Amino acid sequence: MASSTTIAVTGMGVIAPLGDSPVALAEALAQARSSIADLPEPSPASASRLTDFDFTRYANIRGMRVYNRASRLGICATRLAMTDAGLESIPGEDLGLVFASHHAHLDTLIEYDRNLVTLGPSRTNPSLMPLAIASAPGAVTALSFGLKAFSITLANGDAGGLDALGLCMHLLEQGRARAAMVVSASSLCSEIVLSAVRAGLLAEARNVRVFDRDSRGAALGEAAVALVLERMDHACQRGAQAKAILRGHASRFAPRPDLIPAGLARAIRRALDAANSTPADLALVSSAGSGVPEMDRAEALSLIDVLGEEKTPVTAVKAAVGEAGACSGLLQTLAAISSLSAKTAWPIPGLRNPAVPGLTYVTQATPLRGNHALVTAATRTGSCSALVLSSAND
Amino acid sequence: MVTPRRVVVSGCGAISAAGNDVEAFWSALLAGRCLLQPLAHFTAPEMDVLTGGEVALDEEDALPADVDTDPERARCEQLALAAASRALRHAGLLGQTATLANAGVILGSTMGLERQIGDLSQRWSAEGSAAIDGSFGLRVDEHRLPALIAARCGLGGPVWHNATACSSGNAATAWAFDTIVRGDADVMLAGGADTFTRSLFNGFGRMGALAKSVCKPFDKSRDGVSFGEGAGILVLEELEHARSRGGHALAEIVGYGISNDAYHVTAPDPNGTGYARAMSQALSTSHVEAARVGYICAHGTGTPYNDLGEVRAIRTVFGDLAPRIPISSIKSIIGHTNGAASALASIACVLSLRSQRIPPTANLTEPDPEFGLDFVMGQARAAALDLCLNLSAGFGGFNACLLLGRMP
Repeated sequence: MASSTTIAVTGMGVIAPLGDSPVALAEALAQARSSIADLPEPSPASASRLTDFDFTRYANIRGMRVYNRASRLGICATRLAMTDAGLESIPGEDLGLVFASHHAHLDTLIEYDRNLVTLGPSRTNPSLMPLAIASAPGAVTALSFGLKAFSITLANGDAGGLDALGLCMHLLEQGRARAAMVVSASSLCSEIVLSAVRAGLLAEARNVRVFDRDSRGAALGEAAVALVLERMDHACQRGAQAKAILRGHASRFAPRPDLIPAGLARAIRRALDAANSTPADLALVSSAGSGVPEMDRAEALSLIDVLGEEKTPVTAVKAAVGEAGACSGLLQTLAAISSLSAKTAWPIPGLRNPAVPGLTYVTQATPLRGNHALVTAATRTGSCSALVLSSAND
Repeated sequence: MVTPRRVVVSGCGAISAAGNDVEAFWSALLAGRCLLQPLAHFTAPEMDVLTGGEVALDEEDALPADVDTDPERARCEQLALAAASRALRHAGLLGQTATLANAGVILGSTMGLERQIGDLSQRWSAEGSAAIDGSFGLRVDEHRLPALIAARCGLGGPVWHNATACSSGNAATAWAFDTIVRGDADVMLAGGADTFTRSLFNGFGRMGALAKSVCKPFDKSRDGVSFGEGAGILVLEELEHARSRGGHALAEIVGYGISNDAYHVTAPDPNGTGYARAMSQALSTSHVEAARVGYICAHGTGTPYNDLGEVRAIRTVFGDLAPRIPISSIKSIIGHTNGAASALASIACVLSLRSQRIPPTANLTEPDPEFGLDFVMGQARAAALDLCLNLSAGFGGFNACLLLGRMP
């Protein structure tokens, strides 16, 4: 039952290698397609790359040519989501933005600092300095669309997307905006790719097998997602259609890697409480599984702990689009919304032999029963987050 | 009817040029002496001797080797850890494992982690891509900053990194306040940490925004900002939780207001329109009359545009009351500490409410005649304080204002 402060998703925008609309992405996921391919170097590494991204196809806003790739991606996804939600009639003072960033500014900062050190201060471009701080991609996105209620950047690693949704939900419940965008964008930064290879986190495309015992690592992903959140009463007033309802969010911390299963379980239980739901209500888990064996194992143990005997289908969009940092949580949320809408769980490409048995992994498109989905995230720095959502007609 | 959960400050950790404990911090603020000096331990390429508020850490703050082997590049982490342990000790919570297992931390910073990039840039010339190691991605992950605090202090609640530039400290405190109000935690650490970086001085220098000598907030001759390094962390706690364990309720977090200028990447709206909305929201969502605000702890950076926009916003919100509300800025004492600035200012507000005294604005001798407000200058002032409003604004235009109240 929706109350006046129920938070609905009323607009969605996505730019990913598998499609630049929620419908196109859902079709690709339904067919178990993957955009992950090997990188020529460094090795071993693979990624899901946006090879033909041209921002002018989506938005051509003053200043964009100076902004880095992640900022451009974020702006373009925001334009798509705002158009989808039909927000034109709402003044900027009533619109906010929460940007989830994981290294989204880093390439600008590295370039600025390297020029400063190697070329000297007089050869640096002073206009780049304000774009080299963590809040810059979010700030220029808000600036591009005149979003004046708030412009916040959360940098919570790979859990940032879900936490941004949670923060935005609470700000809207308090009436600090009529609607707000939750945005994240991920682009490949060569220094991060290199570091991930040297940390042993990445694998060739054929060895990225989420939840599989033969997985050797993850692939990185480029993507941008924007979701428009809005209080249900406000959406109804302006005749906007809800695509999903956000029910509850929680985040918890695991101080050591071996405590991530317990930390994530605590986050999930808290999110279920906040949503007045139980594990039996869940029709789907849109998991954070990425192919990194120890992280997949931790998540599987956590889900077994929470779900118990429930045979809830578990899917993992990163098997198709790679690990897109803070954007991953929004991609998982988008996939969950499209799954609930189509009443079908999308399969996990490449999963043959689960490393941790005891869960109902989706290996082919499967009909869904129920209206609620759980979305999860866990980071190597110990952040564990969970979001419960439902279809709009619940 | 459910009684709303009230949130109090039960401990503070202040690391700044004024020293590393709350008493030294408060003593320096009340003295109103400018602590900005030529930096002894930081330089930037091809720049003259830099001026700022430099921290001298204590022996107990030595960087643990498992955090980083290089204290230079991990300076921000070191400052944050030092403030966190002091805040927990001040609150009487250090080592209280059961309580801390459900507590969280939300921290803000602006450029502090850039020191990790700086290390890379220096090595890149000599080593090329070999300069990148497997830990680089983790070391430049902003979330690592609060995660380090959480791991070392045994926190198991929400652990977030807020990045809203120079309003980060207030924003982090606001989200932590909400976390406690809605019952997601009883105890939260909140604040910010930042340090000097090459890009900070170079960027502001190239933009002509650095003070020629030292910053002079609201002064007729103000010409720019002076930076400081530091960390400010507050322990926020649900009131009954603090009382039940015998903790001190030093002050109350009454509410907050937020807004975004969406005006320019760096420049604030000169009319302070967005800033005024944040101030008004702080008052309205807290159901507080403007007349109850007895002190405004201003952002007051000393740049011509920031101070102008801030004053205009204050006049818009407070109208005829504005000239009667004492205002000061602590940035001319310890420098602008970026992500830590509003957290340290919140600690100043807590101490003002406790002692019923307002710190003066150092270096302010001749207020801009256009402003016409009651700037506290020269010496600290005694005042009957019920509420303090702590203002902050940042690059990108995000404003966050925190309302703090006196506890009996």
